Amino acid sequence: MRTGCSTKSQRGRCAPTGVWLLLLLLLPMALGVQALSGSAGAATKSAVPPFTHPTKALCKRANYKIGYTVFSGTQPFADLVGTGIEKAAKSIGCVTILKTIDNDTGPTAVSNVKTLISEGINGLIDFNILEPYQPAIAKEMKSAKIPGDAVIGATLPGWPGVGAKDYTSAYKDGLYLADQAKKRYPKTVPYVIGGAEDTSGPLILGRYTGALAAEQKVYPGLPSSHIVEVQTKGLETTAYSNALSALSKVPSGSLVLLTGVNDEATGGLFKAAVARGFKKILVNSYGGDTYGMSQVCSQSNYYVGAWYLEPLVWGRDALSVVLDEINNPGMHIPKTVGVLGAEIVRSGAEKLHCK
Amino acid sequence: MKEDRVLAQPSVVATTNAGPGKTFRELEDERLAAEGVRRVARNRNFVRRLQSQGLVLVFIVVFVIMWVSSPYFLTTGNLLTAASVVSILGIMAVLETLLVIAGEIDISVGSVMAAVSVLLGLMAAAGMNIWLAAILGLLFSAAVGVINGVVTVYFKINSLVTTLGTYSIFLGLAYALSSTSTVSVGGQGFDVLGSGSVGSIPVPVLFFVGIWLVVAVAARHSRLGRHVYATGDNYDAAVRSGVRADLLRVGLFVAVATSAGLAGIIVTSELGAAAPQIGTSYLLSVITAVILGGASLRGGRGRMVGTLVAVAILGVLQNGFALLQFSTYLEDTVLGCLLIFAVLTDRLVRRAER
Repeated sequence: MRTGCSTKSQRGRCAPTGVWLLLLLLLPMALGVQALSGSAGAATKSAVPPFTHPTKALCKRANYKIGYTVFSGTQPFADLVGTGIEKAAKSIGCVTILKTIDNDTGPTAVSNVKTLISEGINGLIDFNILEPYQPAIAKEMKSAKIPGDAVIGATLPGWPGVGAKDYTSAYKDGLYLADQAKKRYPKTVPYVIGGAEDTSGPLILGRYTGALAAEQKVYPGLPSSHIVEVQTKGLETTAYSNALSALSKVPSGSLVLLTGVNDEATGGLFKAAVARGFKKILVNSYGGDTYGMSQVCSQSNYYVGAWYLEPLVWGRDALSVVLDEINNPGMHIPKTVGVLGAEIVRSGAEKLHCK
Repeated sequence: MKEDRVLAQPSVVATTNAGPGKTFRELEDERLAAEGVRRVARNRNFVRRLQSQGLVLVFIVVFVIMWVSSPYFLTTGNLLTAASVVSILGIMAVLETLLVIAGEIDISVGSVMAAVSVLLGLMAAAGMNIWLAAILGLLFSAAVGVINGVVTVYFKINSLVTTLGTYSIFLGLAYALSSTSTVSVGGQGFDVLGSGSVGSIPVPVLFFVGIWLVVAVAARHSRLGRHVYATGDNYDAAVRSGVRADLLRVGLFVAVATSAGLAGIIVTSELGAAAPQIGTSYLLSVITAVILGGASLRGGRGRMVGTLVAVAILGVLQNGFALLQFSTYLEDTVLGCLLIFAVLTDRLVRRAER
């Protein structure tokens, strides 16, 4: 067996004979270690499953009945989450989805969960936006010993949540907006107008604090008088009315940077800034629904883009998590499985929405 | 009836007061009765004054607090902004006041706003002229008013129940038709309704002031106004004295719904967007403005000046809370407190009148 180098020119790229011998000796040991680490890897894999990749490997049973309770049958974002769940279920092949809609009515949501449990579901995906009714839903699940997760919306006590990485994605949203502002108006210290929603709990509030933290990073030492928090309740009208009033604090001619908790709230802030006569306005929408995208298209002088939250991925991940919970009871699953999303600028929005 | 007899005593006393031959006891009884009547009248006047001037006092207190708390509050631009924001609520509150005086209530205004906004968006998206769409939206809201009025008046259903039903129907319709999505609406100068101004006065303020003036004058100085009060005060008596109370009430329902439609059109114009959520925040504030302004839920009582002051209070609160960056929870709490204050004052007035 030739293990050395035959020519002078090859020597530089060849290992000495002794090294090859050593490798031969080590090979069986290495294989043994690999086998061991493989089993250890498998053990690690089952302890921390790949929550966000539903595959046929999740089909430990012939069929799973998964309940999906959702607050709206028509809201576009909820629709896309539902489509994500259905698509993932179809690709896995062993999942039947049973869906109920409560039209954003808490007691109906709780009653729908009871109905789903009586229909024999193995797990539940809960997409509601009314925080106060979530404990009641969690209680029903606990007493029926049904695992589940929440598409956030609102948190489901005791169960993981799948949704936007609220703080982080808003941070990215704010960062992109502030960077754009710095490029376009390098010497101007802006006024940061942030749409908040204190009625939907701390996670959604992270959208405000995240964006603000990023803007403060780009503009270190931003005076507190340049930070204006506007309560929006997640609604365009409330955002508009409150921003219209709050903008009285901002001197005319200032550069204003606008972000909100969703596309509609951001739109309300923008309309208020226009109505108050501001010219230097930069907006980064948050959510990326059709309205937000249409604003990116039609108001491209002001909208630098929209942070797209990828609702299809939310549905896919929510199904994956609940199947992992059913297959591996008692397994530790992170409290939040977050989807970061991505910035969509006009060129990206054009392909989807601009006409 | 018992109260009526008590109140009737003074005239009896007055006619017999001068009569000769009375015992000391009779004279003493008459003196005590007259004093009691004077005390009741004094109480009544005090509570009435409390209701009307107390409202102005509340306005002044709120205004001064905001003035002291925020240096940006007392500027022309900010006050005009506050007026513009609250005008939407005011447009509906003025006509709702008339309806409440007539003894009815309409809680479907928020859903009518939403439905009109969504219809406007759909018609504009289908290529219809936006102004024509707005007129059709107004006609639609008037039709909702006819439904509310006819069901309440001719089928003798409590107006709270009727309008709760139509609230649900038209809100559901708005959500279903829009798929809960927001649609951009604009062009053809449509934004002038919500964002335009004449001089420095925002157009929504002009709408509000115009409607308030017409309704205030009509309520105080026209036969129609007297009929509204008469219907709310005593329906049977009003009908017996020739008031066409049923038709009047239907007409008021139509007026309230049309005002909600107009508010929906103005909000759609100022946002440049049609959405089913636009009426969500108005229901509680419209009713609060009406009751805070002194209109009694039992009918027969209410003043347009009161509604104007109440709308101004709500406007100052909304504006001040936004300037001071207060939580929305606090705003809701204050609104609730004001509502209870108003109802308690109404109860005091009623009690004093007995």
